[in-house]
Amino acid sequence: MESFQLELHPERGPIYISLFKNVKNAVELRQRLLDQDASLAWALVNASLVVNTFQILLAINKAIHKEVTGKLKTHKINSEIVYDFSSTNNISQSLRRYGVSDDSTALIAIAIGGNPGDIEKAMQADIHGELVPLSSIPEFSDIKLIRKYYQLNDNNISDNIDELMPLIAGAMALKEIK
Amino acid sequence: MIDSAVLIKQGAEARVYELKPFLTNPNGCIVKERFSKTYRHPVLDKQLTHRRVSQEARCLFRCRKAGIDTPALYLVDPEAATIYMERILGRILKDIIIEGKADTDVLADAIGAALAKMHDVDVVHGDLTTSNLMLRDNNASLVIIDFGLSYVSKLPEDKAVDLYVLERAFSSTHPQTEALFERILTSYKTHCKQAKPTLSKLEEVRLRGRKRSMLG
Repeated sequence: MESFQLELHPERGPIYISLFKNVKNAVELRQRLLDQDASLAWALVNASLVVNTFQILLAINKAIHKEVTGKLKTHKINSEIVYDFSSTNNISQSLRRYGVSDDSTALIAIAIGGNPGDIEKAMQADIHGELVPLSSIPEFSDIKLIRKYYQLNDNNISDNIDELMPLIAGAMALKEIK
Repeated sequence: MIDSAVLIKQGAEARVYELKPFLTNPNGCIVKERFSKTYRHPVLDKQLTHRRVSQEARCLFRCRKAGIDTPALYLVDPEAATIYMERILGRILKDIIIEGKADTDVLADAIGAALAKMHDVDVVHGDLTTSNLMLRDNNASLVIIDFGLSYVSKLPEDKAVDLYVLERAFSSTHPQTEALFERILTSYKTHCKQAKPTLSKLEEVRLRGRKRSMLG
């Protein structure tokens, strides 16, 4: 697990991000989300649609910025984070794509504020998988799917992350901008 | 504005800050905040500012998607009239040309190609000057910045005025660079799919100036 600070909203406390691989209980986790189980206190993101830590932080930053300015589109900050990964305004589709699905095996768990020791323990109790460093995110990225969902299918755009990331960032930032 | 943001530029429309670091990026980001104009009716002012912020962000992204190097968008907040975007590590073209060490032919070709791509996706920049073009330090890629006056238009007239504004900017900030601008146009012509109507309009615009005559 790694911790980060948001420059725009440091008052919301540190951000904790963990990457789990070989997750065995995605079905259970998804069911708990559907049941609105409040004890599952993390935002859970499908790691195959993520290219790096910066993308995760952009989504969190946007969600928290909206929370602070009273503009959440979904019920909770955790669902808003998942929603803000998406470039479309369709909430249920966004949560389906970027959240946990029954066949997810690589998941990113995000927590806002709290004690790092407690959070790491609680995350590991909830998510039955192997905790790996965020630097291994690229091993799980599905570039083809990422290009499809972020509508970056032009042939002149390469698969290079350095080229894709600014476009992903733009697509995420421009959502909800009329 | 956030305490750690440092004001780096104040223009007529907006203030530009630098925020370092930003979300683990040690280079930080640029925060562009449009301020309200007190001489406008508050309701109208809010609406105009809101619209211009989203227009600027959309044009930036449209160009980026078309393969033009522009700053990446990080966060757009139309309510606060603020755009958070990539901080480009580089130098503005104005300084590079004045210094006179760079190969201006290579520069001109790159400018022409970038403008052609931009006009091909119908983005009109609205304020092309050598201060709004940058070269990245790491790969010397030409970056177009400040889309604050940009809009989408298919009209050759608008694109021609865009080129004319750059021509005037060149002749006023960099004397004796007519050949350089000619080379930009040549490169523009080879790269732009619809260069012909725009360039013939440019001839017209040169004769009458930026503003269209409303007589007759």
